[in-house]
Amino acid sequence: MVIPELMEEVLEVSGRFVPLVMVLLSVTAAVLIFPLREQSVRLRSTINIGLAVIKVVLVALLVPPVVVEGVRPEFSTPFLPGLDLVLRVDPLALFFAGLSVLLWLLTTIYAVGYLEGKTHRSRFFGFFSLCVTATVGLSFSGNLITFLLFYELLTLVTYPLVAHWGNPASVRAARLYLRYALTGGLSVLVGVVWLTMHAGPVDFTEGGAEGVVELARQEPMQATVIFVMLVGGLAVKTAIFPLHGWLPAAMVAPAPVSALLHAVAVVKAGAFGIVRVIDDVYGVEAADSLGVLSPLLVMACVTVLFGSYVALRQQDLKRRLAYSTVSQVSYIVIGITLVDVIATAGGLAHLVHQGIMKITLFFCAGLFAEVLHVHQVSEMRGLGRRMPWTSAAFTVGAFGMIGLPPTAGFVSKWQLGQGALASEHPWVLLVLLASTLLNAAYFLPVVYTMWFHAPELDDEDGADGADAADGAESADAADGADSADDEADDEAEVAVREPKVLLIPTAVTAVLVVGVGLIASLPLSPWETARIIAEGVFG
Amino acid sequence: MSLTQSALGALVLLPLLVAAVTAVLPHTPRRTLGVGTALVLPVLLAPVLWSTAVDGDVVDLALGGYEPPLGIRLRADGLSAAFLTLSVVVGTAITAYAAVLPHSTGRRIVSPPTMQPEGPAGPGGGAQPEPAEQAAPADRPGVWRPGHPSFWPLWLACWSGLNAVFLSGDLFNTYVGLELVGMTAVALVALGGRSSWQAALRYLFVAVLGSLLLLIGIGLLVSITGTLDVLQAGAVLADAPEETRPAAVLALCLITVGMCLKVALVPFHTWLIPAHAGAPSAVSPLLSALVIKAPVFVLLRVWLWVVPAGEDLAVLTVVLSVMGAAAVVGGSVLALRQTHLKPLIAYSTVAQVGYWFLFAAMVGGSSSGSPEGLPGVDITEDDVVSSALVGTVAMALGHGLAKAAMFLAAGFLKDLYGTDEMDRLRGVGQHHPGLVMAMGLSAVGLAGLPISLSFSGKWMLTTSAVAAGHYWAVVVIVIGTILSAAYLVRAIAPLLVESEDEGTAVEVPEWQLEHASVLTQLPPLVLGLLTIVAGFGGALLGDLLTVGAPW
Amino acid sequence: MTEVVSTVQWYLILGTVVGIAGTVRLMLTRDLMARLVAMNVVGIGSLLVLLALGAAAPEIDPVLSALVITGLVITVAFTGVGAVLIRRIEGIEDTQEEAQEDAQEDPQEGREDEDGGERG
Repeated sequence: MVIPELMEEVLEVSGRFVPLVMVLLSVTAAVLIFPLREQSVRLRSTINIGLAVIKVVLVALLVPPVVVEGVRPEFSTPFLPGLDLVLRVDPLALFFAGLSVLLWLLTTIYAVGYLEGKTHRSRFFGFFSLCVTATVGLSFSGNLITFLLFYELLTLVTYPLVAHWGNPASVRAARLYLRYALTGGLSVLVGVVWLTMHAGPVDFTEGGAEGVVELARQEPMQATVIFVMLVGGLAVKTAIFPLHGWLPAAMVAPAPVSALLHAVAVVKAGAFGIVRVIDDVYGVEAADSLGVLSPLLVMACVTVLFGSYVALRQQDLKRRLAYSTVSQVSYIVIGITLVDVIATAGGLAHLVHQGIMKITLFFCAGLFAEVLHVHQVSEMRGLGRRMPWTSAAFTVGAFGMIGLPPTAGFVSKWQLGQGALASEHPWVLLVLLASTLLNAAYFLPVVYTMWFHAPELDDEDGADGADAADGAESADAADGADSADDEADDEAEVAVREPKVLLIPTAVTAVLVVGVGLIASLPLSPWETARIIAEGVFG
Repeated sequence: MSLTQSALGALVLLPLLVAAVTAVLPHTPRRTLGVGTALVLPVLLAPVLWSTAVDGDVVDLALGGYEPPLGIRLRADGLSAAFLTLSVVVGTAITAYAAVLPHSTGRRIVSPPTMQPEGPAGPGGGAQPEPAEQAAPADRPGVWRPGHPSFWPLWLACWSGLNAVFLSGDLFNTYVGLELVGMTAVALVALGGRSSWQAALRYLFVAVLGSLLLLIGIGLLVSITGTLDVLQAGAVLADAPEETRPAAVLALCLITVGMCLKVALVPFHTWLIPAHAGAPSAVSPLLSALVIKAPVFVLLRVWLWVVPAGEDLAVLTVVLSVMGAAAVVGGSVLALRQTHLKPLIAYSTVAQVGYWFLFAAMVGGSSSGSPEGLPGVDITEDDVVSSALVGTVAMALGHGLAKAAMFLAAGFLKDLYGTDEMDRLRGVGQHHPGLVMAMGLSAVGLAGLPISLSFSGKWMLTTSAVAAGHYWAVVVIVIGTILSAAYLVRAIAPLLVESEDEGTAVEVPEWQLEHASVLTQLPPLVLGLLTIVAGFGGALLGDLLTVGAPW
Repeated sequence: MTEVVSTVQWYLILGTVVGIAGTVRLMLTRDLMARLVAMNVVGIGSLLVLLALGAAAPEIDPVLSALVITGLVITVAFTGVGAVLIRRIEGIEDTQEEAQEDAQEDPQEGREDEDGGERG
């Protein structure tokens, strides 16, 4: 009798510390990695990957109790007089944390291979780990102030990653990024302070925090202004038009960083924040009654179309992908602002689905650039034959982006469309259709070029020219010689060696793109989880 | 006399004693004694901090058993404990830095090599007792050597003075402690060699002027209340008859102006830039992190503990807060225009000083009408003032930690490369990852971004500004934050980027590189980390400051 | 009784005037020695004020006298430090050639002077 009770108590106590442990794990990684010498590759990779695996396992263990049984482990500590830092695990938190830690594990493996033989790797992986800290902390944040802390932390720790190469171009881009992100962060900060003044510490609650709902009823004007400040600030990271300028510029960063910024960390942090503000701070009903959702919906639609259109005109592969991100992330915002269960679920599911698809594409772009120095779409002729595995992964990702069945992209787009029809804004369906057409227009030609054009074997000059023009990957000089050797060896064959360390994570995500789409109807799949969360939001 | 009380006395007297001893010792034992003191002071701080923070008691000690008004009285309440902790922590870190890198303690003239057959002295390894005094620069051209042994007695005396100010329970002690700090600070600036003498002299004039104003103010208060004790004077003034009020207000004005001079509030800031930027590497962080905190502490004491708030202070509070706002904006803009690292950091101090004076608006605001009633939140006037106090103290402490780290790092680079011009220091950060990390961490603290103590401070300050209806203060804080982030990025980013033009790159003198050991990077790094970690202590600080609070 | 008060007031006014005069001189002059003297004048002015305040009470306040004495000691000490500094600074100006040599060694020098100029 005593022992089970004791066990229960132990579980309860330890459960409280689970979110804290999750955050501290990544801090530990950073603290361990920073002082490491450049040469200790094996030790660094072991720490990195080991801790990343532990985190994935922890999140996986948390899923059944939290999503199915409704347990809410919570940890809180006083921060300022009257304000607590709260870390709480709820399904939405777990949803985002799961995406982060899984993709982080893959990106870490990829980055280990990508950065082999380059400088400042301890710094890179140190900040990389701090980034995970921020993202995991963000997802587990139980109130607005905690969210704010991790949100700003994310800004600061991604700065050194964007500036990693240390050449003027990347420092300029990093500064631009910092300028955007800090200004946005400041707007969020002021909004949070203002809201906290009026509504006390704003705990994330499904259906809206008490004080905030009250405020929205009594002082709609103030509540609206605060909403605009919060969402306006978050929209910077979400790269909603016209606040998207930093994103294409940040493309100078190393490929794993681009993958991470675009698929998971920064833009998703913004989108996740918008979801939290609408669903758990104001509550959908209160936000809807303030009349702030429709303008946001329109902005998101404009961003979707604008991003797709600009992507169409980009010749640089990474920039094309960047604008595609601008457009795709706004799908999430569309889902939330349609005020409909299915649409919300679709938007949330897209949070995960888009992450997996986009990271696949960026991994591939990194591989192309690394192995063959291909940066421009025009240089991609015949890549299907030269790098078949990478090209296959790219194709899967691109199909996902377009939303072809049975990929994950199809699931979320379909549900978004259904939701749009059921909501008060059926015209959004047209936006979705138009965007799909545009997606196809900028991805299909790439895929076609890859598979159905003959490879140019003497493209070494062209690649070098592009390299010089680009300037971002100038640190690759040593590897350029490497790949030239490879090509000399393989002159007889067209195919080149695709580095395994880079290829494996890419393949895994590509499989996931299809897998997640196929298992969408199974319990605990991203889509089902998103549906449970959305039903919670709409009570 | 309990253990805690002895610790209280020792915190003031021990550094003073050691300073006196070191003044007559050769260089090497000076360093040893200095480090020894730095090791003992944290131990002495622990019981004081324990009884204030954990037990919530005010520690009280009448030196020699004489009671006020004539006795010397040390009191440690929450405010004292907070500032004392800063003094001990930063002081210890900088002592460690100066001990590891004697180069950083200044420049001195030694007699020409004929007098010194051993040839070039090591890093401050010369064993002449008083080389600075021996050398007469005018008639015998000496050779400039880095490192100045006078640093130790001066700094230890300064430390003692700081602790005396922070622990003083009566105004007379406060005055004497402040003078000790001022005098030694001037001398410490002068250690920087001839380029810093002008600055030191200017600093001296300002310091004396400020002290004299303080002295008159204290005299006025004594003549009204008949006592020097802070608590007694406060109690007398609270029930004082109407007709003594103008004198009390006049005293407050004089003390305030005097302290504004010493703390370099805009427009009295011009002396600070050459003094802080020109001082030796181990001295600049002391000046910026600790020395200017002493007058801030005195101001908080006098405003909150001694002279009761009243509507007749409205003009003064408005003037102060406007000057504060001007400092935040003006200081930041000027910092943006600097080309050298240390002046940039010095201007950042000018800007930070402004934040502490926004506090005045909250004190004034609380007396001119009740704070806005907000739905669901009951806020009294005391709440406004107390949260403004927590905010101001948090910002002051956060600034102390961050600025010490920043100045240490900048000074190190300047010593090593012989220049602190940002354009010429391009890319050098790659050789000192720890140092750049320290600068980055302290930049977060200085800009008041989360997570840092300054962020907590800004939060509290903003909260109380909104509660008191001073929305303009929020605007000032926001603008200040943006500008400070801008100039800090401007300061740090070039260190990470290689110069495009190879010709302008600086070279490291070989003989100096060997002293650029990992140990020297440790103090700034530790201070930088503390800036961040202390950000979680906002609630603790709030509790601590209620100990012995006037409300 | 009224006579005593008026005497005290005279001293107060005198002290204030001396103090303000000293302050004005301190801020306006560029000559370092003159500034040091002006600083002392301010000191004397403020001590006069303090003495007058001490005399205002029915019986002379010993605390205020103690303040005056401490103030005197500290002003003297500061004057000493100031004098040493001035002697050193003017020592530089006397040996011009040497200063020029040093200016090459120490680029801070010129900037320092500019700063001084701004304020004057």
